[in-house]
Amino acid sequence: MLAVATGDPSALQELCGRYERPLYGFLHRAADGRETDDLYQETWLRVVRAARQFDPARRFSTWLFQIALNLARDLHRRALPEPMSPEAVEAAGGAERARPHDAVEAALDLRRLLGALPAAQREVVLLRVLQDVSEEEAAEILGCPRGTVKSRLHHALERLAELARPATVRP
Amino acid sequence: MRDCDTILAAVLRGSVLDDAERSHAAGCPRCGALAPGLATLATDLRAAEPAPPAGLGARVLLAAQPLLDGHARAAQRARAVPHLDGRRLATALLPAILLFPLLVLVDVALLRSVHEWLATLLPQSLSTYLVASYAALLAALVCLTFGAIPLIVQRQGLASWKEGHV
Repeated sequence: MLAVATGDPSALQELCGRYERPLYGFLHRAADGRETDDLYQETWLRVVRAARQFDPARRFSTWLFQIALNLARDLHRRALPEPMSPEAVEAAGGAERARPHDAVEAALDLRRLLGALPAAQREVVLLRVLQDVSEEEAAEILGCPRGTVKSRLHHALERLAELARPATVRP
Repeated sequence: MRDCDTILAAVLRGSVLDDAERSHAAGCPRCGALAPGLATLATDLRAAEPAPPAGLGARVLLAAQPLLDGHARAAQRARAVPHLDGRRLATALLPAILLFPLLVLVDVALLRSVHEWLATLLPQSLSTYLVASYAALLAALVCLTFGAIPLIVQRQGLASWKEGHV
């Protein structure tokens, strides 16, 4: 990161390569697949822009995901669709289950299930489960206490398991 | 021992559980109830992993190039700024140090004569107090003056460097 602050393009290339998949995946899910490429690019531009202010004592990944999360939140604020209620998810799953080939896939559509979670819980799932970041790091990225991360994950897992259940107990 | 949610998160992630986690999940009612549902989602989770499009990295590098150029210029400027030059500092300090004994002699002579004159007008203790206060003030001023020499040298060096780079 210090090399990026001195304008070294190879250092940026290395960082981009290292975080390309996790960051892209995170943004794709955090922004519901909307404008992911643009968000990805903007995240790195913000990283480069603020490179000289970066505190080397901090973990780079925390800072990177904080920037990405803020961008995804901004996108949601600009055009936020209402999160789907469990009933709506059920109804959508039921309608799709009527088609035999798509049944399992439709019922287990991750994006739809994540969409059923409140934004705060979805962010915790994205970080703790999909990105496998520690509880402490997730708390720092989200700007909330560790206990909040714990409780959000607790509720999110219960909700996801509940939403996944109808698909597993099919006739 | 990891808690239920950490184990359930690992199940949802599709990670392989270690022996301790497996035995916990087998005996825990909550894990037993939630793990099967989350395990089915784990498959979907892996399948739905979005891949960045080819050329996205190059696009980012291209867009970031002007910013990187700006950083490179700033870093170059920062490297070129002169630091405190020891030789220049020594040149500035030398006359000050040579003049220091003379300065002390003049100050002591001044303080003595003031003290003698005040002693004719005021009680001895009051004149001593006044002269001692003045002596302390003079000492502080001398410290400040000599302490400012390195700063002045650095500022002068910076000013002359800026003149040459405008």
